[in-house]
Amino acid sequence: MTESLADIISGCQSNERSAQQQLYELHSRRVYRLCVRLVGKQDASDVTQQTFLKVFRTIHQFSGGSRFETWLHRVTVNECLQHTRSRIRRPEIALNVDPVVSSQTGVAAESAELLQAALDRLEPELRTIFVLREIEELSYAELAETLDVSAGTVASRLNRARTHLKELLTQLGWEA
Amino acid sequence: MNCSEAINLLSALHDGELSSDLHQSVEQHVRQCESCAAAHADFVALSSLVIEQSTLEPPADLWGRIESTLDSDSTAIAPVAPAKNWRDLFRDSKRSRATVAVVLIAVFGFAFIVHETMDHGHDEHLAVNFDQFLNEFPKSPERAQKLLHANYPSDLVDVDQATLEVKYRPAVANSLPDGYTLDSVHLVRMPCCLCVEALCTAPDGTRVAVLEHAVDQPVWFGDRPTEECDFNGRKARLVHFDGQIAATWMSDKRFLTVIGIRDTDEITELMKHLDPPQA
Repeated sequence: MTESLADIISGCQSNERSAQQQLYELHSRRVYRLCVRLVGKQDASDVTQQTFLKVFRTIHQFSGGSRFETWLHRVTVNECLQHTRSRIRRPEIALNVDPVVSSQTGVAAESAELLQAALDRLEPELRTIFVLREIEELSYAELAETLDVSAGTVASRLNRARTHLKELLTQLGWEA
Repeated sequence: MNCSEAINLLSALHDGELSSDLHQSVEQHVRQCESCAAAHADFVALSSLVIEQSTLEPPADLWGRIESTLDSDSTAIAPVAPAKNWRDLFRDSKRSRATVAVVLIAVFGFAFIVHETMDHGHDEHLAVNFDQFLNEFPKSPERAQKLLHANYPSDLVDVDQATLEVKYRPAVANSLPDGYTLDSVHLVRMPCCLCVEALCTAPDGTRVAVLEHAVDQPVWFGDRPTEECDFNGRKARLVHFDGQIAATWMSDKRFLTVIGIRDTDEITELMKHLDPPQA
């Protein structure tokens, strides 16, 4: 943890609004991007809001024993999974998510949409580990800490995620 | 190395997370095995599909929305500043009688408002703390229990000590269904009351928490959807979370909440033992 981040966290633990805003500005893009990937664009801002409220309300529990980013990933993932479960419990709300808006065009945009469509069909736990690894580029040790599982579970869950994702992409017409 | 060993290591190979010896032997197998090579090629192709969406930006008004919620959080428990120069208000006796009446009304009004806002503050903390508890319980009941104890003072006791403290015999002292064991009993000082919290193990090894409390606590379950069910004439409120069930019902003068239940049959069974019908 850098000195300045430690100061910001300490300010947040004292409920200082300027520190809370600094923390938001430092990490909101990363949290929002993760939420878009895990719950879809239409719900991502609400879940990002919930994530930061949870962070500010519970930041006194962050002891510095792990990297702050790991703790933040864990809070974000938990909020996303909880949101996904609540949508599953409320079947009247469609589970399909809006495609991620992409700046790419042509083949690249089609591939990005295809990938998101397949990710949306993947089990939440598998989707989470794939996104954290491939997009957030977490190491296996960071994945284990964020998801609170063993390194062995990380490897086997990633294997399942990739295998299942490939099957879903094939069903959607993707050719490797 | 054979295929069944190699296939489990393909992700770690692809991600560069294997030791150099293991990396070499898996790579060697992949070079010689067509099916493992194909699976590995799929993983490589998947990674090439992932294109970072660096242009994704949160909505411009998002910080404003968060700040306004934080503002309402802090005003809910903000203390009211004391009146200035209150002695001046009592200078003449005629005015003082009227002033005393105004002050008393203000004091009682303030006390009521503080009581109400404190309740809301407690509710909010309870909702946040129980949200964490329910999220954690399916993964690790012990860690969920530790979280609860970190937020509220608690003591490990036996059933007799609990009876002395709370002045009633806790429900877990009645009986448990066949094969269930009582692992621990804690007294937890919640904002509402002194709560008896017991952790039990079911015959299949899953854990069940039993909480006995004086006040109904719908706030524990936050905004999770609830359903009301009838168990042989007794109404219970059920909440589904992460493949498990929590159920609350009124028992005599108190409330019982069981967490970590698999299905409604288990609730019926627990109800029969924890809270047998009065003769």
